[in-house]
Amino acid sequence: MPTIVSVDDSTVPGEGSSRLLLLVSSDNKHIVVEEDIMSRSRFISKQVEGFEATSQRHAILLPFSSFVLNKVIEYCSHYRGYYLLEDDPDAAPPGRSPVREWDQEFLDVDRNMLLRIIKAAHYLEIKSLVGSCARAIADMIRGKTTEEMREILGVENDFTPEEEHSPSSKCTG
Amino acid sequence: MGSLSRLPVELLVKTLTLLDLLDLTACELSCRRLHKIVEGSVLLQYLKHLQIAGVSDRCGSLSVDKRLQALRRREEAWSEIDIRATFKVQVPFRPTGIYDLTGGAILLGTRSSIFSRATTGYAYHVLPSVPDSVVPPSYPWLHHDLELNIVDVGLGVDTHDLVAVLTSSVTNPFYSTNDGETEQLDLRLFSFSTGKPHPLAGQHVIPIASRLWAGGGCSVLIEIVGDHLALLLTFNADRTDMLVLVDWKHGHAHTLRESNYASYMHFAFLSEDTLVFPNVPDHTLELCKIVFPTQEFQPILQTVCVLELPALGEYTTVIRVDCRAEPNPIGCSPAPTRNISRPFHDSPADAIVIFNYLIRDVRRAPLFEELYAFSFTVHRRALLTLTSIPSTVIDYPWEHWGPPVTRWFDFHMFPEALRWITTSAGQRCVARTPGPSSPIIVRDFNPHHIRSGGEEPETLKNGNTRRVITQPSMIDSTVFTQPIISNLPYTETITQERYQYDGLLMDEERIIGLRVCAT
Repeated sequence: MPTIVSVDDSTVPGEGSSRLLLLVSSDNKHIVVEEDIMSRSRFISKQVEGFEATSQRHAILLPFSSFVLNKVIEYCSHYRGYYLLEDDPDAAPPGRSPVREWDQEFLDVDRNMLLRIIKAAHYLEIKSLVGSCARAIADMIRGKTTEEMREILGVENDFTPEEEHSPSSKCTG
Repeated sequence: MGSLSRLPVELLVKTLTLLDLLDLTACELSCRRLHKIVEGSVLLQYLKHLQIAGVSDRCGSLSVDKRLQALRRREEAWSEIDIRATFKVQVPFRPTGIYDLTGGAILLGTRSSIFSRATTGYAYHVLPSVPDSVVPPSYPWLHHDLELNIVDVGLGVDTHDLVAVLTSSVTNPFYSTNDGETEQLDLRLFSFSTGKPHPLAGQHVIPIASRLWAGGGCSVLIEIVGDHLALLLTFNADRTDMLVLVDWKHGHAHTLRESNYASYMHFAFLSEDTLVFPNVPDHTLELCKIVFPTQEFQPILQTVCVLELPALGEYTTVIRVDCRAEPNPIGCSPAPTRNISRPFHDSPADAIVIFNYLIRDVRRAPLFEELYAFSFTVHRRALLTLTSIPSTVIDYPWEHWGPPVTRWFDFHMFPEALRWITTSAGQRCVARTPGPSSPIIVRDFNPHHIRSGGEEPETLKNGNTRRVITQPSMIDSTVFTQPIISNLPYTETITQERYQYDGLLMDEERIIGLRVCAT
């Protein structure tokens, strides 16, 4: 859990129709963003509800870098005002997230970045973005041999030679 | 560098659910942690087992854990022929030759009086399921009398709650009696559950053909795939056949092909746009695609490849060919319209196609009614693979495509074995041996169920025996010029008990034993 620090509302510039939020990244960058952009994030929505209960505005500290945070904000800005079924807390979760072309392009990043985005999306509880990231990772793995998968997943073969021969029989059920 | 495998388990599982069986298995074998995650996730195990069994899920509200258990029970029951309940269904009328078995219902043709030969109606019966209580449920036979001459009936119960009936009426044109009578063939579309005209059909009577009545009648084969319905019409007197494609929701009908009498006696859908036709005179299988060149409903049938069958001897004639794959592809249909209690549904893409051949050796024919019956099985997928190479029509000699992907069975002198075609569901089929009593034989062509090891029969807990056949088999018959070698592996379970049935049918949840009264 991030610690919550109180901030003076006057430090927040450009008060408009939507209220503003102050997000603080792990590299201590202060990013101001309109609240309705971030309402897709269940985590942030719950934080804001908490503010309303105490009628105090706070900065939200997040455990990832501004680089990643900006990417997530870009995603949320793109879908500002759009209804995505996966992000509706009252709707039954769909079996599989739909393919969204914009997301595919948006997530055309290196493996490291993809990993950081999915973790951030998971932390912020943005289900649509988690779903699109999972799809992007699955696309990277699909059709690869076990050896190639080890390379992509960044894992070492830690089976003993005996084990390596036995698990394959499991796949025949 | 970040390792994807270090993601929280929840995210990894979410990612892995998007992979198919092959990728998931490769992933599982990459390291201990991933192996543990896949083994430990009920959801991933369930998705894996669905693909292994070649079924899709319809459980709806049940928990994943319960579904996995139900799936395992189902697969085990089929593999051991563990009969969980037996129900007896009486047929309280004298049926005609028309029948169908699909979507958990059996349909039989009915006649207006016991003296009449023509089919003028049909009756269907929803078959009991195991979740029903042990007391036989009292589903009635539902009768639908059209008071019209019925040529045949096709069912699309699961996907569209559809009954398609081809009717024939012979009318005397009032303007010229010298021209003789005309036969009008119409397709009538009804709702299976209500018996009323189908609500999704723009017009519930679609004219198919109108021709000079030459006697002799006609026969038809009807297959329903999504919004399309294909009819293969055989006119006994005119010596011509027609293949008609119908867009049943919009009421369009288009003749795809006219051909010589009995050139094609049967067909089956391999995918929603690819069909297989056994060509009788050429003794081949033709794989054809339906293409729609324009927006208008003017489809064209394109032959993609021709598969030769083992060469027949000089003095032989093919009497009859049947082929069938169950279930049919559903096309781009939405979720089933009918409330379906069956939790699992065989996936059409994994299903096998059964081809039954009845062949006469004319050297002996006038003296002995000597019919040779052969049957072979091939996966839909194996045939579709052959159509994936574009360019010109490809002609495959039997040796180039057949032996590894088919398995042949010789029912020499037992043509009764091929009397019914509804003997398969998904990748399994049912068979029996000649004689008044026979064990039930279930053959399973699912490649995932083929365990390596000996072919020694294994005796199961319930007394039934099971064996795996991975060796090639050879059929050496005088009907063919050369012995037929076929290799498709399968598992075969044979019951200890013998049953006195005249025929055995199956669908995705039951084996149906038929007792036929002599007429």
